[in-house]
Amino acid sequence: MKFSKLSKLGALALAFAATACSSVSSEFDTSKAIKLYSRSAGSGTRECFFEGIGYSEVKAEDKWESGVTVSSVESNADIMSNVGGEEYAIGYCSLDSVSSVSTIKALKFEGVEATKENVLNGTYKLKRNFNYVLRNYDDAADASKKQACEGFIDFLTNTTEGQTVISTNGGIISARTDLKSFKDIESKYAIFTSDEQLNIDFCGSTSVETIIKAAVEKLTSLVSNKKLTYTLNQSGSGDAVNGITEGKNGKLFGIGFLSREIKTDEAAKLTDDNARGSFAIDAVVPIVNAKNTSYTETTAEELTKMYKGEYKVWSDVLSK
Amino acid sequence: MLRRINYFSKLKSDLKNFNSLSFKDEKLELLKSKKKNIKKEYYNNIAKLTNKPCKLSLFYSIFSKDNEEINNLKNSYKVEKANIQNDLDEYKKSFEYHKQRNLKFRSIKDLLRGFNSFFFAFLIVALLVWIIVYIFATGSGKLTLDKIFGNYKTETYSLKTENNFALSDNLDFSDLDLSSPNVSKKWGVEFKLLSVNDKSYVAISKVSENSPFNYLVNINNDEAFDRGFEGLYISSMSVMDSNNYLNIIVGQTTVENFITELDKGVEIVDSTFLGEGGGFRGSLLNTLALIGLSLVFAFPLGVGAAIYLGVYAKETKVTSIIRSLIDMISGVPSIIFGLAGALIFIPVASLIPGTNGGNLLSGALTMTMILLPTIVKTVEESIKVIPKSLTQASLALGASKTETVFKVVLPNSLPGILTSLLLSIGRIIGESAALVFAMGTTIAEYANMNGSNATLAVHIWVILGGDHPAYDNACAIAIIIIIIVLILTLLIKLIAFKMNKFKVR
Amino acid sequence: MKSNNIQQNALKKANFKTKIDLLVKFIFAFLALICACVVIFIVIFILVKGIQPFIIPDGSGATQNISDFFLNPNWLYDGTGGMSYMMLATIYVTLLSLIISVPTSIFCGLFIVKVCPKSIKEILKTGVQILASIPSVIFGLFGMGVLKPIVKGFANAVGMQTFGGSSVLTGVLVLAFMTIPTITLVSITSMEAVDINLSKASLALGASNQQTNYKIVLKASQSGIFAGTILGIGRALGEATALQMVIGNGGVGWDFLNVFNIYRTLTTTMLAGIGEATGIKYDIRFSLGIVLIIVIVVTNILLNLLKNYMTRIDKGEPKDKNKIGIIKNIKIYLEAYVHAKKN
Repeated sequence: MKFSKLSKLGALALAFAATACSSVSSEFDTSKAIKLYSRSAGSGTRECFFEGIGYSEVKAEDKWESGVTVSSVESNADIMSNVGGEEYAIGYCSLDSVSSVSTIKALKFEGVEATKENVLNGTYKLKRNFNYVLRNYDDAADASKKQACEGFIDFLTNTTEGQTVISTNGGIISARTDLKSFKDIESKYAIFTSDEQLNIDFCGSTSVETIIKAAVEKLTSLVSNKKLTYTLNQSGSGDAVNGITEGKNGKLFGIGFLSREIKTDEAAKLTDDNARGSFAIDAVVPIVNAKNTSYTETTAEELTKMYKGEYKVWSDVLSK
Repeated sequence: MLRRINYFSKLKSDLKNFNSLSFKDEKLELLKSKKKNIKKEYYNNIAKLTNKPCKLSLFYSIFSKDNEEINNLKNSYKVEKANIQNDLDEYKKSFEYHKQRNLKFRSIKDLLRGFNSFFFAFLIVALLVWIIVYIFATGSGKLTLDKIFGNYKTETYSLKTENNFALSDNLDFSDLDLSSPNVSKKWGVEFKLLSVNDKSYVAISKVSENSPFNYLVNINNDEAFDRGFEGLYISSMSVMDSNNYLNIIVGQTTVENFITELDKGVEIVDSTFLGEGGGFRGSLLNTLALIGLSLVFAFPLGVGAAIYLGVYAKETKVTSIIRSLIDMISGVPSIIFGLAGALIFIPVASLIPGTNGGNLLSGALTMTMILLPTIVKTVEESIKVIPKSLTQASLALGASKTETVFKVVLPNSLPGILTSLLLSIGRIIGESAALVFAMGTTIAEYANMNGSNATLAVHIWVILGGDHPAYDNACAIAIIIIIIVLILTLLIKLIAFKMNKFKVR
Repeated sequence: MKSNNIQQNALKKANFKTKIDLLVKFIFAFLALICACVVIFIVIFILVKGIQPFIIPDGSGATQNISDFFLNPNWLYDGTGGMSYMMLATIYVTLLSLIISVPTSIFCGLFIVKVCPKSIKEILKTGVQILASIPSVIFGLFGMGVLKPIVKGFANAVGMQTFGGSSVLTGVLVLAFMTIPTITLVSITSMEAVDINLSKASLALGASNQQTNYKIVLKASQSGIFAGTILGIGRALGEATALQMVIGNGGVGWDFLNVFNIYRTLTTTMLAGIGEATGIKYDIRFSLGIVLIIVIVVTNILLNLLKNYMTRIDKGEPKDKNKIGIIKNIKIYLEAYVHAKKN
């Protein structure tokens, strides 16, 4: 009898605690502090965002102002789930991933909404190119590897199927009329029709992961060599050039993807044999939680002030 | 039976002591009741005298100061009250009173103490139950046989209509519900929405028998597509209409929109059908391979060291240093093992051709380091438990020490070896931080020697921070890990139970 | 002749067996030596690699600044930055989690050993053992899914804000949940080893059951409980994956004192961003590894000294009554001084 009495007391206490903790206020309280999120240093999305709002001191290093706490997260998905889980958060992510998540909403930047058309006609300013850079394979020893990489880029940039994949997965490309079909280019690359087993590793930015993953799946379904595989090892644009020149942790990569332009010191490591180019445009969108209903557009100045700590609570921003 | 009866009687007496918060101090109760009675009597007597109801009689007694009887009553009441008060005060100074009071407080304290320990034990049990229930509830939706044995990469099919295809107008689609808005009357297909990774895509739910969708071919080899559309969703479809204009339809849209666009075309030039993917067969196979390889390395080392320490070694300073060094291994956090493993063993691992970074070998060698103290301690314990008479008898019968070790000591320490085996398997399955560094984080489809593949725990860590916030998939994997851990723990308890049964006490 | 032959054969065989004995003994001793050297190898390799960034100039001809490594309150993720605040945060988080886990484990152990009916004792013990063998990734999942919203609600109720639930408090809770089963199992073992006669004597003197439990059994097993705490501290200091999922990654300087802020510890910094790390960003983790090893070694030495001090009291060695402690000395001097001043 003692245990039933005690267990009843215990159950009551737990129920009380549970109800107390589950009551979260659903109203947006503008006196709460702004919670800042950012991608970690080395991300191309981060560089594009901070460059675009004019706060370039922090685009590659965590040189925040004193008293400012910014939570660094690893990837696009992380920042979306974190901003979606915290009502008073603000962050940024890449356009192709933002439309489908219901817990976050995109803000207009300088009065322009982030859509494909606005990016293509130049009115939306926070945009960057998705670039690629190829490893300089030795023609004799690694002929098939070179073919596999060049074939992938050819498929991605010059065929209808490749361009369809890019646009279906959120990349922004301008309409072109000179596209070939995959059958036309297939004969140029022997590796697509041979029986050789080969794996090519990709490295670089995580923002391109959706597009490149879909492109890899499409390409492997179109080629007849079922032993040809491409593996993604995305870790940030900062690793792209290093990955294809020096390798990382003993691993050598075939194609490096960047969500920003190649910097001058990185370009110094490349030669003319490293093919490079851009395959899509992407936009970076400032995002807030969907419950933050009154904040719909922002300017570069407001964002800079938020990340510098001059606006500390939401009422500072919303009252403007 | 006898024990249980005794326990119940003890429980009853305990309950009597615990349950009664109101500890009856009888003498105190007696004195207090006396006090009450005296007061009551006084009021009753006054009421009798003045013939008024009790409460008014008090007023009367105040105003009638001359009435002798009332004054007598008052005085006697006062005297009696003072007496009782005296008795009470004396009793309160006595030892009896303090003893009873302490007993009462002790019973309150004991109840609180009992509740205290019960509360914390209940919390811990509740925590365990909460964890298991939460993980099972979140993950069971996604845990299908398909996931366990399926690919991580999504299947992709690129289909189109046959060459020289012409869409005929009067095909019989009566086996579908033609009035429903989800049916394309031109092509004879019923569509639905499928939710994948928080996005919703159009998928095929039913195809009519006479529909041209039954005769789609693969783009690369023109072979017929006979897998069926179960479990696939449409990522994009390119249709050409009668004016040779190519229209690309995105699959992430509403069914009505899709059908409108599809009905404009007469030929499907290209389409991408994707499966859901997300299976973790590769990680499961890699985990099993890792367990096998690391046990191959760790067991000879560990059992050998335990035999040396248990059988051959004398208690010198060197032996105690070796023992404490092996004990120190268990105090090192696992991430340091990961760093060291990445440093020491990755160059070793690149002996296997085709390796890029870590691989199964470097992971197995790192896990060997981590498992050593467990194996050495458990096996040494079970060697120590063997009665000395057995080994001495074997030596006396003329066997050499080697023969004694292999034929007497090892078979008798089998429970300890089995326990250490199960403990090691549990440790390997749960290890994540070390393997992130030493083995790698690529999610593979099969186990291979030269890939820097992820095991189950690393897989969970990777998908939580990667492509999509795949929380449900992570919980599905966690279910498998918890089930394996549960089985291992119960097996270890079974072995310990059997070991105790045969122990000579 | 025949007996001579048999004898000679037997002698040869015995010699052969002796030689094999020696060989096998050497093999086993060699294996034991390898096992013992593992720790030494680990420490040496990590030391060598971790010191390199500060001594050997890298590609641009500069070495890392060692005073920056110690004093900078910010960790800059590009390989520079200071680690002393992270070290303090690690110790702080571990201490806070101990405050939660040690009382819980002690009282739970007491319940399992003394208070609960024998029929459910084995079930509860098995439950604690299952909890002890659950891998840390699953605790991280649980923390992300369940603890984060709870802490967020709690912070809202108290009026503070968190980063969507990630905070030092969530990390403390997850660490506490992970160390509770370890400490509980060890305290169960040590409480069961308390001499039954002690409790019987106390009952005979008139103490109640619970008084005996709290004042006798707990006191008698305190050295075992302390040993369990040391094990728990070891596990908490080295935890990386579960903590990294819930503690957020940010924060500068003394921020960790407010439990609702996010921060980072040594282990989470080593693990976070592992995908993005090349060059100096990868190598600096080994330097952090050296710091972690030093912290663990120093903690273990201090705790073992404390444990020896406590067991010395247990073994009944009397304190030397002729010696007056330093503090008492100071007290006496102060009182004399004040007294002299008055007169």
